[in-house]
Order: sequence, then structure tokens, then C-alpha cells
Amino acid sequence: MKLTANSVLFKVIYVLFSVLILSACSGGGEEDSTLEIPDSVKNAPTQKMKQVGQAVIDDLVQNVSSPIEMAALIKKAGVPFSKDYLSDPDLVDKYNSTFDKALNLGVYGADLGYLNMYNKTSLIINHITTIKKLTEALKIGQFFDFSTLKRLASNNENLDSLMYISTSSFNKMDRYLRESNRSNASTLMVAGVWIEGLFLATQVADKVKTKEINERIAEQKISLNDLIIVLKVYNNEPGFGELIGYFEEIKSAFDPIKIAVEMGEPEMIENDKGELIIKQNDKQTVTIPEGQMEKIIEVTARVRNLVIKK
Amino acid sequence: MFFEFWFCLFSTFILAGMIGLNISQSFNSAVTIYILIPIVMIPMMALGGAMFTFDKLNRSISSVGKVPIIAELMPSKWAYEALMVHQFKNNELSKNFYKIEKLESDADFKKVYYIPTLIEELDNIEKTFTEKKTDSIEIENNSRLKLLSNEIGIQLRKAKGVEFEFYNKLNTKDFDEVVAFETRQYLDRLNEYYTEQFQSAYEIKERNLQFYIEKYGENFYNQQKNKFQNESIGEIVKNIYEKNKILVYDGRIIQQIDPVFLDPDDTGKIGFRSHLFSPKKYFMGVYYETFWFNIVILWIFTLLFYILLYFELLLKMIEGFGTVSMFFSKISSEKLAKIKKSIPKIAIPKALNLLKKKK
Repeated sequence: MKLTANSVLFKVIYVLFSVLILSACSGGGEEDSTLEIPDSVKNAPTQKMKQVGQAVIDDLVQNVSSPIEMAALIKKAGVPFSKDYLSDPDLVDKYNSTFDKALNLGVYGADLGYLNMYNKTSLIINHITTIKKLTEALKIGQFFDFSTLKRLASNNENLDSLMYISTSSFNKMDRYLRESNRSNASTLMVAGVWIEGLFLATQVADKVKTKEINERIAEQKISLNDLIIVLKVYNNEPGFGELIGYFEEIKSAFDPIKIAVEMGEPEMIENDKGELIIKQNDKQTVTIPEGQMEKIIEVTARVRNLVIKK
Repeated sequence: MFFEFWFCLFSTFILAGMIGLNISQSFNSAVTIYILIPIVMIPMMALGGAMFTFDKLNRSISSVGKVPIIAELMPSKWAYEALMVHQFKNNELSKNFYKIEKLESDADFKKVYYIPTLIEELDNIEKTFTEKKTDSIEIENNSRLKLLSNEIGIQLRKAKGVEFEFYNKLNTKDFDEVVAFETRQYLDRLNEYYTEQFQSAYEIKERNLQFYIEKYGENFYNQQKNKFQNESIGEIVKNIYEKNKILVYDGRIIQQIDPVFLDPDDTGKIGFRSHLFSPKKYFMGVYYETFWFNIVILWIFTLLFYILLYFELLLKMIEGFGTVSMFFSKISSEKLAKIKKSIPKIAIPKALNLLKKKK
């Protein structure tokens, strides 16, 4: 049979060919019934979580060294900026649960403080977009609006106002989270800020040995104890057990460090502006045994990389 | 997924073919047609909703909180909306989470933007109690009370279980300190209601997520996310870059963020007009799935153009224009017939003849 345009054979082959092509175009659409969520999970009754009091969180925020202070110290020590210390914004896609999101929101917040101190605006944009994404997912996006960020950016030089703005925004957010029974998220954020701040300080201490930075790191022993106590309240929530385990590891690295505070007489002196302020003459002696700092640096880096899922 | 994508594009293809046939039938020279094509295509591209959001159009042609009428006429808008909403809502992974995310988004909006706005309006009215009642204050109070009355009316229907007895007193005649106090109490109760809604929705969502991660591992979940969800589509249909998350207009509160989680207005009876990326369409008392509703609209357009094509209506209209201008230049009907005969109907065969002669 000749294969002319009119013959039946041609038409049949044509139809078969087009059917073949069209069916090959089908995407990988398998009916994945494994993705169904059973009703027992969907309809289980919701449980109320224990709430930590406002005063506790406020205390915690006061004690945990602000990343801005830490960054100012690092900058004063003359250490140059290094991008390698920071958490990669692209890792944000790995954080699925609220636990991971809140914890890493704290981490990125600390990084933002570091970037702001060194005025690296181009890298700040990337971090801010990531932070915005995380806050939207946690449904606290209304606290990270443009005006707050602008205030933060314009008050670059003034350490006090930076700290004030960031702590007041954080307190507003914490109050809101408390209302919806989610104060575990604020605790996680503080934990994230703390671990990242410690990581930055230890990485710097690894390169440049200064007394102030070492002392500051040693002081974290106190904040760590407070933090672990607050985290233990949420022991039964998913993810917290693991985190507490990691922090206990860091705590054992800090154990050999001794901090002795000798209370002195307070005295009234004149500060730079000519105002009279009360100065506490406490003497703080920090003893760090040989080789302990290296251990702290190593365990902090390990825990932090686990937290950010590197 | 494959069938829906194919069918939507196929329907758009057929409709485009119909429009093309109409143009081809109505104009007698190829030059006219290929000059006309950009004129037809560019409004469809620009008003399809993908190039810019509709609130950037001038107020005189755009509508607040709904798709502007001029964009409703563009088939590209219907097809685009159908595919975007379908891909976001009904992909294998999201369809397990969509309902709970919708509840969460609704409760969150009410708590963070809606109720504070209503409370602010109430505060503004209460401030005028101590001032002298001038005309302008009366007008402002009137519009504020209208807003409160409209919105609380809707909430009484939707937020079942939160009662408000003074609803009928929300007008300038009956409104006084007592009603203001009661309204504030009601808004506080509404806030508690939505807080509870939000908390339970949030916890259920977290629990579902934990279930996946525990059963299949986090890597598998990330893989599924990459396979089925699209980040850019999520950003567009949730309108996350919108600055004004809430608008007050004409006695109504309009939600601008998360349009894909917002049900369309069901206050009109016939109107099916809604905002862009609405998950459901409302028509004559029934809610329809956006994807299939939009496809039906595309086929109605196709039918319309088919009728235009069959009865040569567009052609007759254009010829009609020709006679009108002739009429005004006072040419007699015989001369008109002669002129009509001399105009070549199709220019191409003449050109082909010329080519043939040359050979």
C-alpha cells in the first residue's frame, strides 16, 4: 500500500503517533495516597501549653547578651568583617517546623546585628528578606514592618537607641505571642540569638585573643543557666529535648570557668556629659583554665551548625 | 494536574482561534489585520493581571476590592487566575494543608488588622461625644457608623456564638455612650473568638506537619515541597508585597493580603465579580471552584465569538461604519454600489496573479 496523504494507513499512523506524543507529555503525576493525613491526627484535641511569665522572659532578654553589644565589642577589638561567620540565608528552605523557624529567626536576627554594625547594606538586604519570610510563616510579620527597619538602619551609630529599638520590638512581639499561647516561640528566638552571638564571639576569639572578648564569652555561663531553665519548661514539646541536650553539652564545657564578683562601694562620679551617675565598683575576676576556651569554641561551633542545619 | 493545565490552555487556544477568525472575516486586507493584532493582544497582556496588580490602575476604571470590569473582559485574566489558583490550592502537597491555612489566615487577619481598625473607628466616634456637633462631624460619624454596622452585621453571621444585642442601635439617632460601651465589649469578645480560632488552626497545622516529618523524615518533606509547590506562585497569590494590608472604602473593610485564602463577597445576589485569585466564585447563591468556573467563562466567550462569526456580525458592523461615512458625504446609492464593486475583496490573489504573469 502506498503511503499517500489520503490513504487510510497514513491516517491511522498519524492518529497513533499523536496519541503517543500526547501521552508521553504527561508529567510525573502519581496519585500519592501516602500524602493523606489520617483523621486521627487532624481531629485530635488541642492541648494548652504551659506559659512562662512575662517577667521571666523580660529577665532572660536582659541577661542574654544582646548581639548588638557583642558585635560592638568585636568591632572595637579591631577584628575585620568576615562573611563566613554568618548563617547562609539560603538554608531557610530547610526550616519547616515552627521550632526550626523560630530558632533560626533568632540566629538571623543576631546576624543582622553583626551586619548592621559593619554597615554591610548589600548583605543586609538578603538577610532581611529571609527574616521577613520566616516572620510571615510564624504569623508575626506585622512586627517587622518597614518603619522599624528604617529606624534601625538610620540609628547605626547610636548603640543605645539600636538596643532600645530592638528590645522594645521584641517585647511587643513576645506580648503578642503570649496572647496566642505561643511563648515557646519567643523563648526559641532568644535561644537562637544567644547561640549565634556566642558563635560569632568564639570564632573571633579563635583568631584574635583579647581579654575583653574572652571575659564576655565566660560571662555567658550565667545567661546559659537561665536559658536552660526556661527551655526546660517546654521539655515535652517536640524538638526542645534535643536542644536542651545540646545546650547541656555547652554548659559542661563552661563548668570549669570560675567567675568571682567582689562587691565594691558605689560612688557618685561625673560622666562625659557632665551628669552625675552612680558607678558600681564591683570587681569581677574570671578564671579560664588552659585549653578550656578551645573546648568552648569547638562545642559551640558544633551545636550551632546542628541548629542551622548546615 | 496535567489534564487541568492542558484543558485550560486548550480552552484559551480555542478562544484565541475564534477571535482570530472573527478578525480575519471582518477585514479585507492582510495589512489591516496584522496592524490590528497588537491592538487586540496588548490590552489582553496588560490587563491579564500578571504584568501589574489592578490597584495600580486609575480609580476611574478600577474597582476597589474587585477585578476591574475592563479586566473581566480579558480572557487572559480568566485563564491566568484559573491556573494560578489551581496550582497553589490543589497540588498534591498543598491540598492537605489548604483548608487549615485558610482558617489560620482568616483568623490572623481579623485579629491583627480587622478588629483593630473597627476599634479605631469606634474610638474616633467616642472622641466626638465631647465636641460640638457640627455638620462635618455628623457626616463623618455617619460614615463610621455605617462601616461598623455593615461589618458587624457580616460578623454576626460568620462568627457564630458571639452575640451582640445592640446591633440595631448602630446609627446616628440611637448611638450613645451605652451603645459605644457595648460595641467595645462585643469587639473584645470577637477578638477572643478569633484568637481561639487562630490558636487551634495553628496547632492543627503544626501537628499535621509534625506527622509528615515523623512519618517520612524531613528530607522527604523537603523533596515533596520542591516537587509540588512553587514559591513565586505562593508569593503572588498571597500578595505578600502589598503595603496596604487593609483598606476602608465606601463603608466596607477590604482585605488586600492573602486573596487566595479569602472567600468572595456574598452580599450581591447575581454578581459573580470577586477579587483576583479568589479560591471560590459565588454565583446565584452557590459557590463554585475557581478553576472550573473560569473555564466555563472561557467557553461562554468562545460561544459568543462563534455566534458573532456565524452571523458575520462583526463584518456587518464594520461595513455599516462604511455606509455611515458615505451617507454623510452625500453620495447616491448607485455610486456607492459601483465603488463597493471596485474594491478588491482579497488583495492576495491579485499579487499572486502578478507573480504568475512574471514567470
